[in-house]
Amino acid sequence: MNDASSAQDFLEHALDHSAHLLPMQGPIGVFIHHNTLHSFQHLLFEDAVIAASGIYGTQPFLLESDYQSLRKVGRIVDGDLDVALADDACDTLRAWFDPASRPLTISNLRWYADEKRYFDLPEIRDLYQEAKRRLPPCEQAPAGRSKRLRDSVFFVDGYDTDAIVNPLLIHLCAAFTDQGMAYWPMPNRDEGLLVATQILFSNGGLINPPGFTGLDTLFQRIQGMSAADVVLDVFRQWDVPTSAYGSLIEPELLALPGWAGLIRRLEVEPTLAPYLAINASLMDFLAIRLLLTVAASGEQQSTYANWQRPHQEDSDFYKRQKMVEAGNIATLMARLNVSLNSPDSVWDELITTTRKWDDLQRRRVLHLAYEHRHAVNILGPLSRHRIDGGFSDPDKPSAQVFFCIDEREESARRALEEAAPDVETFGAAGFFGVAVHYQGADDAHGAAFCPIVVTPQHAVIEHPLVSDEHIYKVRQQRRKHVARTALTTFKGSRTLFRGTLVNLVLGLPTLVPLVANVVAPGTFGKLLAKINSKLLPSPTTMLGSLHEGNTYHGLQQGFTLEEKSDRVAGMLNAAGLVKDTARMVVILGHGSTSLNNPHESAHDCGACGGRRGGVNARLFAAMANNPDVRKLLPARGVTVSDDTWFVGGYHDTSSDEVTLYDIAVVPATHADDLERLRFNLDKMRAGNALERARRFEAADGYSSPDSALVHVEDRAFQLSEPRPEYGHCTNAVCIVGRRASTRGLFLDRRAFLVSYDAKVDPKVTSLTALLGAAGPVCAGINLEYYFSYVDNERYGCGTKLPHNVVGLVGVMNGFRSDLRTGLPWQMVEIHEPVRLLLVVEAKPENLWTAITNNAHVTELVTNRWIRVASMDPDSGLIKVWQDGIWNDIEPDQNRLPVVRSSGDWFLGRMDHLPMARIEVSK
Amino acid sequence: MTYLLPIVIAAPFLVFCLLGTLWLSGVALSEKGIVAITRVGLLVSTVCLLRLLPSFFTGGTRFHSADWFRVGEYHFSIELELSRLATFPSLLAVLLLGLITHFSSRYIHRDRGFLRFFLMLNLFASGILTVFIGGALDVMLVGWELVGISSVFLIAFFQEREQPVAGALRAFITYRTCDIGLLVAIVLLHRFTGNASLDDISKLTSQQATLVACLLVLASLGKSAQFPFSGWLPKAMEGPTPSSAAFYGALSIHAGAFLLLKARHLLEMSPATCWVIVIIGAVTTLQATLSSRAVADAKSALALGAQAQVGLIFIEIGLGWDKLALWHLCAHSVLRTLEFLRAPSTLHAYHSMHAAAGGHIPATGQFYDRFIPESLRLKLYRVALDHGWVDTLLYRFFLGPLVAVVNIILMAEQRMAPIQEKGLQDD
Repeated sequence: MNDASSAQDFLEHALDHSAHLLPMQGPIGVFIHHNTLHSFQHLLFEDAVIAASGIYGTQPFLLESDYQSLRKVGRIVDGDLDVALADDACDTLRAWFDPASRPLTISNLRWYADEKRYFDLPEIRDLYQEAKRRLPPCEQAPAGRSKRLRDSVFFVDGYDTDAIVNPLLIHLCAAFTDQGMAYWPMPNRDEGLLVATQILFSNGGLINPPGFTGLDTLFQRIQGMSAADVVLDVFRQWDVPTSAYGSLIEPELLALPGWAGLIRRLEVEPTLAPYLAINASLMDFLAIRLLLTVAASGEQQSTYANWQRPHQEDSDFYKRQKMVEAGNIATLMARLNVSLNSPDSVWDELITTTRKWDDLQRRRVLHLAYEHRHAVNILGPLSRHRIDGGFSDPDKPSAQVFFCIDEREESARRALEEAAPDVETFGAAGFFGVAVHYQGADDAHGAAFCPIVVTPQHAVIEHPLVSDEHIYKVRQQRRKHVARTALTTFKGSRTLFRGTLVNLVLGLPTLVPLVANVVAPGTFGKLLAKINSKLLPSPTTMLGSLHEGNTYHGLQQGFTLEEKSDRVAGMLNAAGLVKDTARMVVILGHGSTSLNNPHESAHDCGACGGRRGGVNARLFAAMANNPDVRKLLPARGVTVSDDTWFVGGYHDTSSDEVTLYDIAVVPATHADDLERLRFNLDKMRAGNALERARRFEAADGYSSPDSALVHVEDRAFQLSEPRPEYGHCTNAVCIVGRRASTRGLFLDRRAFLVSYDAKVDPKVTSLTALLGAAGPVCAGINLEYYFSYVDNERYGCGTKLPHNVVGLVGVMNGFRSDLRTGLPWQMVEIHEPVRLLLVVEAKPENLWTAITNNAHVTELVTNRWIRVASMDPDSGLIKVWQDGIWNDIEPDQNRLPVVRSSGDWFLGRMDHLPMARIEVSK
Repeated sequence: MTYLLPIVIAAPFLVFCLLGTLWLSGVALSEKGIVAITRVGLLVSTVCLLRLLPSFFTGGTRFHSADWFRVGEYHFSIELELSRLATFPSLLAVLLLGLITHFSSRYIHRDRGFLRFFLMLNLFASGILTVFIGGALDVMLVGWELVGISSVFLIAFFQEREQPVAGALRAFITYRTCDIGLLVAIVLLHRFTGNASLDDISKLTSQQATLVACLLVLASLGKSAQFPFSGWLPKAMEGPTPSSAAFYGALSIHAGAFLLLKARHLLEMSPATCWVIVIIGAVTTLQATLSSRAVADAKSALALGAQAQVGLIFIEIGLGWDKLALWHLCAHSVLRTLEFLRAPSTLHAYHSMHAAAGGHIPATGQFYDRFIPESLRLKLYRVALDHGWVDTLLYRFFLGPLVAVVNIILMAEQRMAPIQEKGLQDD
């Protein structure tokens, strides 16, 4: 009894442990960027990526050939390599980093040996023989992963049980987690995956699917057993020692990481399921996986110990490996003119060096060199910009506009400042300090609009005005009709009777939307929107105010006066806007709309939990306009001028549309300001669209802002567009500081910009809060892009073109593949995989205090998942943190290039652009 | 005007040849160039078809080439015919292909296989038009094969992964098996009547007619994914979305049905075959509907939905309702194309629908459930989960035994003439 329960403990522990290796992505409808290797964050970055590559079979860095071609184009220079090699740098090593010293690989060995007769070349032959003689035999054990039943069957009989098990298991998982796509929901799924499957398969009298034997009896036998018991039972049959549970469970789960990961996510956080609650359990998944493997392996099972016996292939591999090594050492020696008769010490050193600097280590160093060049290209110009001087925020701004810190808004801010030099811009995390559970008038349910680490304590519901109540009723009624019609065609066209009717009657008329959608997506989309707004009248709405004692799902409805003031003051304080507010202060949330894009939510605001941040902006503005709140602000260190009016808005980063909320309540005194603001925002939209269009090949020829705007609008509506926008692609830097220090600098949409003024934050409380919120969010985005780029097929989800939406929870590749997590190639294709460079305008000691105040940020920094630099607020000098030491960075020697407008710098160029100074922003 | 008919087919085929030659000779074509050339080809076909449209009211256009070869009495010429039946499907084909071209120029943008995709699309265009306006079975066979091979290559478009290649192989095997029907039918028709025309069949006896008709039915089953050859269709959803739309939503999937429509005179001589078609259609429809109920992914659901509708079209053909079948065929191809192209927006669509419905979407599948006892429901669900047993039956009763027999032969052979296994040795 005691034994059994301890085995179960062991099992659960092993499962939990392995589960950490599964992807953390939840259902795709709400996509939140996060560090793909989150579970390795306790390790140093380089160690972590290498360790993970062993476990997942992934690439830790770019391929060496990628770095070598970057060297050819000067993106990495030899000086960078020396910096990255640090104390190890020497001529032998420099030569070793030249690919010409290493012509041999496992795959071209035959070609070189048999066809090129490489080992017979006079300058190679003797060196090769000698090197081969001196090379110690390879003793490395095959990679430490334990083998599964599948590996053993595959080796002995040559058939892959995974190929039999996976399709059925995927179908079961898809049906089980389905949120409403299948016509028949899986029977008994409330009981969990194991029980539902057990009932299904033990029902008797049915044929086994191809490749399986005895499914019925197997599932009949486990009736009433818990998932853990089933797993233990199978393990006992296979004689798996308790100590090997973990090493066996891990590869079993990683055989289908996407599905296993989703089930784990839904088990840990059931509220992630968008429409229907799922009684998910990873143990169920494992139990079924093992049972199906048993049924697919027939009589070939033997025992765990037998599977682990080494295969013969290994020794053959080592033989070749040795030939490659000796051949490369010989080449290196020939290039360095080292003679055959060198003393033993020279030979030993050569062998140790080449062995130490193997493929992974070289790529590690090349990557560091690559990042070093990036840092130099950013930090040098950044401090030079300060020296060159001439840019500052306007003294008496006509308007102040808050954007999200998102790097996509960098170009929007610049465009706005170019269009209207008297406008001041700020960057703050896009939920603007208002964490809220919000339900819009058109929404069926509420959702949390705040960073994923925050749990909202307040709920706000959008209501129609009482006077518009009747319009609202009509709207909701009509929406229901529309939904019913949509449902009939959506699901109906696949069923038999309704489907036939729909086909016969609606078939040919669908030519109209088909042609329109494909040929003129933008025009058609706008037409539909127009029809929609005619058909569905919009009532004027307001945000629900405080209902004390009234709760919504256990949350307080609305904010108290104190809470409102805290939030308004907190956000303005952190951004450094504590006095001299302009007549208009605009808060712009952001999000992204695109059709035909399962990853749509990945373009939304990460700080709003993968949702659209217009809500938070609107709410903030309403709070800040409240006269009672204004009275409480001075006590919190913020003075808002009496003639200031806050307006909330929403910027769509895909169509570049800007919506302003609650315009009707803007006082008449501010009408002119509002009109000017709108004019400037329109110029901003077009300017931003033009800059975005430079990256789109399909947009060449769009050289005027207005045509570019039409182009990006089209993209948002286009069914055929796999890249409605490039999202966070190319992100690389995060600058926390005053806008004055970056204003007028062309940052190429690659820098997150967080407004912060060290002068008003002597106790670094604001900085601590800012880094605590922005650090993990930006690092999460940056690292997800890093991994999805360096190994798009395994860390990312590959090309979008064959993606197939499944269960409304994710995408598969075509028919029944693993659930694909991470980012698609089309989202990352122009990315530069460098770790985030966090530049903070604060004294090093203050910055360090702020970092160490937050354990999460500390871990990111000390384990080098982000790079950190401090910019002195007074002198503008930059120091880079490296393992506890702050190294000075020299400002660029030469003045930065100066152009009149951003367009002059980027038009006609598609690559990443260096920094430049933009005259008109002055 | 009849000379326009060969141009309809030749235009996309020449584009295929041009693109292929340029590719092989190492000329790097820009994406815009590839699309432009493809558009020109389709435009030429469209213009020719439109010029021939008036003949729809006068009974169609026929084209005879000069004799290709003569052997004694026997002579062979290439015949094309834009019959009343073929007019609308052909026009629809060029229209849909034009849309797919336009769509793909953006969708496939920057993919390594851009040229490969358009190469295959052109080959397919030429093939499907040949099937539609081939005047005799032997001409149609050429188109039939082009459709098949381009379909196979596009399923395996992402050739670096295993699944697409396996799916393509499966489709290929199915196509080839069923093509035997068409091939033998052509040989027999030549033998019975001296040519492969489907109109010139008055000389056939009713047994001969039934034999040829059954062979044509066999041929049609593969392309149209009818029972028992339907297992490949969901597995073919591996290519880029627009190729799935063009092949399995719009055109290729209807090729089998079209072949049977064309063989109307033959079918009239063989009522038994008509009943076979009705039964196959019915079984396919039931199987597809049943399996589609348990699938939770967008593309399989669409593929199975298409399969069910084509099953119904088969029933209509079997019952002799040709006009309805033709209407059904055209309507279905348009609707399904749109649905395939919109498949990636399923999430977006569902979300807005869910919100509009006020957060409550009525559960589906309740309608019949009330009449079915629970244990039967479970059984049905499991059959649905197993894809209506198509593959299971195929493996159990056909492939399994076949493999067993082959294995026995192999073992016997090894015993009689043992082969020395050569170990992995190097150096």
